[in-house]
Amino acid sequence: MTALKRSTPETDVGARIDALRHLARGRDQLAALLPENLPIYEGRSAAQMGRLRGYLLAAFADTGLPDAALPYVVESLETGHVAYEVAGAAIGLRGLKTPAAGVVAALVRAIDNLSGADATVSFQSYNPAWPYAQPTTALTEVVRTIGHFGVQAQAALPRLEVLAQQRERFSSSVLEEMRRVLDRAGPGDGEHACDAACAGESCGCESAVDLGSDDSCCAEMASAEPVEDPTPMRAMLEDQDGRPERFEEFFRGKPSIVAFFYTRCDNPYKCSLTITKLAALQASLEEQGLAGALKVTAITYDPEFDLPHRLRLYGSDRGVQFGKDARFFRVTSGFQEIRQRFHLGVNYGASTVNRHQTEVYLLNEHGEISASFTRMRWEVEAVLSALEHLFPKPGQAQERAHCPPAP
Amino acid sequence: MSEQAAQRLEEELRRELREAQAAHSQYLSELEATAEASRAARSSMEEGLPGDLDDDPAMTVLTDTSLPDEPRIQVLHQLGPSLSRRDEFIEALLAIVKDRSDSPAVREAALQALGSAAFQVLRFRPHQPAYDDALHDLVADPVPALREAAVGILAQQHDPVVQETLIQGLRGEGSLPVERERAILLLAEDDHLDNLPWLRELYRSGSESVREQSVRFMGSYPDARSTLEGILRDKNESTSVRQQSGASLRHLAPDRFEAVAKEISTDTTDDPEVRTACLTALQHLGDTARVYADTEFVHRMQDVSGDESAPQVAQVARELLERRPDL
Repeated sequence: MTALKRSTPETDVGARIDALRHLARGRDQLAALLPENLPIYEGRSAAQMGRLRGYLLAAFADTGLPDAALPYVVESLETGHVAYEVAGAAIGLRGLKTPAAGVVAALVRAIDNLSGADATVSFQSYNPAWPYAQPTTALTEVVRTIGHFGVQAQAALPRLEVLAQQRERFSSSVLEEMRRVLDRAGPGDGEHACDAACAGESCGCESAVDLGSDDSCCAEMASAEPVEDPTPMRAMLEDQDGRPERFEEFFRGKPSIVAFFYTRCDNPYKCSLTITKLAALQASLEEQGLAGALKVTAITYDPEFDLPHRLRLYGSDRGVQFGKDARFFRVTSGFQEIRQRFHLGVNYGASTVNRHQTEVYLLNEHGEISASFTRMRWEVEAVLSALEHLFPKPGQAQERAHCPPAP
Repeated sequence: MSEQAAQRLEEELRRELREAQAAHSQYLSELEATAEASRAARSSMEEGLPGDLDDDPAMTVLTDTSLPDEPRIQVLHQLGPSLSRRDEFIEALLAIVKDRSDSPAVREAALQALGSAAFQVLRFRPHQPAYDDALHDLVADPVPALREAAVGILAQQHDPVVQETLIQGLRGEGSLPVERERAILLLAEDDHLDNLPWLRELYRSGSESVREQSVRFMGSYPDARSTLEGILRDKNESTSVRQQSGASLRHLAPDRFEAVAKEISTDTTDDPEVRTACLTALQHLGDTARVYADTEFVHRMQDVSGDESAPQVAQVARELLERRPDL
């Protein structure tokens, strides 16, 4: 097979996905296509990226879902706001033999996210023309996947029972699908305490994404290996007030949290939520008397467009209190260095970002990456807990957070 | 307002209300009569409405394709807002919109009624997928007005299916459901698409208002900075397009705009309206402290403020000088 390149037409990438789904080792090759920062995705539009992502994820239903691909599937379920991508993730998840609690929770979250944004989609072929020969909808596929897992997804059933009563939220066909799944499950199934599937309702660990096979509820997706890079960073930054800073100098002296975002992000579950949570984290630090202990920062993926006044407005609209140690930046030179240092999960179309993951990093006082919260939704409590482990107060022994590495 | 005037107003409002109520009652009895005739005709042809809808005169008239357009459209105009709370009414509207054998005028009115109902976002949620499907069907409809309306609604939602249709059409890989110019402007609603080449094409070939819109959309593309600067400087371009170009350049690159605006505002050979717009922006928007700190510019403003050949520009220059913080 010829290598896929930036110039490979979109339909040819779709054809490659079809070819791989029938190969014995196709699943690993499909998984290798998942990182959004691959060169083959450069220059494509956000719409193309959504189509490719949805189709790619759905292919795992045929090949089986490898561990390496699971975080991507869960990410799309948790933060996807486009029906096609979420539908593809739901279909692809059926390639998993045993879903952990966090995976089931992600399915339930997808239903809530997509209520009002469901749409007719089709996976009959890559980018089929309207009208579709095999139409379905994203919510139908999510509910079907819950049904597919049967007793293994029983934690989702109480919430599904509630949702199935909400005629004002869902189309009749989705309600029928919910009913079918619930009828097949039978009475009594899903009467379980603390299931992560009731995310946002009764479970305290709302953000929990446990991708392992055990039932622990609140594992975080973080890397605790400090990444030491001997090469000094030459990147230059400009903050929300137009003040210049050297990356290397600013991120030294005390630990920092760095979130990546861009103001034109149209996904409410990504950048807007990330910055809102960053403001909540800042407030928590303040409450705990730790306001000066950590630099709270965010860097835009879109430095050409996100001029200082846009950074300021975006942050203050979401509750960020700017100050000496609370700054938003755009990179005025050396953005490539920053992309490499953080292995940023981002790529660009002709005008702006075409796709990105959620990514938040904790840097130590030397500016080295100590922990990362990437791909999955992150919660303030998890970051605070990681901070406590990584940067203990004087007198406390330093511990390493026990976290699986980020993909 | 005096007590007497208030009383007069109250009487007037009461009279208008009585008239409206009477007109509405009159309409309802006419509707009942039309529905009765429709039911009779349908029953002779053994066609009926399902279940209890049979008793509903509005639904009976609306769904009777043998009736003239007027009474059916009037149902939508008179009762549409209250009926849109009912699921069966939305379903009837969707059926009318999708039925290519039905009257185009009634289908258009039904589509408008659906658009109004969809505005109630929360209430409309269960119907949204079916509504979008109907709109997707309309993209290839033979009735141009329906096609254009559907494409417009979908494009504003950044619908990927219609975007793909428009892009393929622009590339010559499929037929365009709307005029090329309109297709480009609709795609431009989504700044995550690669629209700049189409916008440049539109700028080169469009009318003044189209050029103005194209320049407005260019304001989302950092790569368009030099194009916008060129248009702002172009003395052969119309005033409105140059003014919009200035606004877009200021949006993308305020520093660059400031530099160009200073040049234009002091150029006595340039269009006074563009000079005035530049000066006004410098005075009220962006980093005004920096503008006043530019002593050479302030000095030149003193010359401009006395220029009798361009009184409007001179007036704004005087205002700018009067607002100097050091005065």
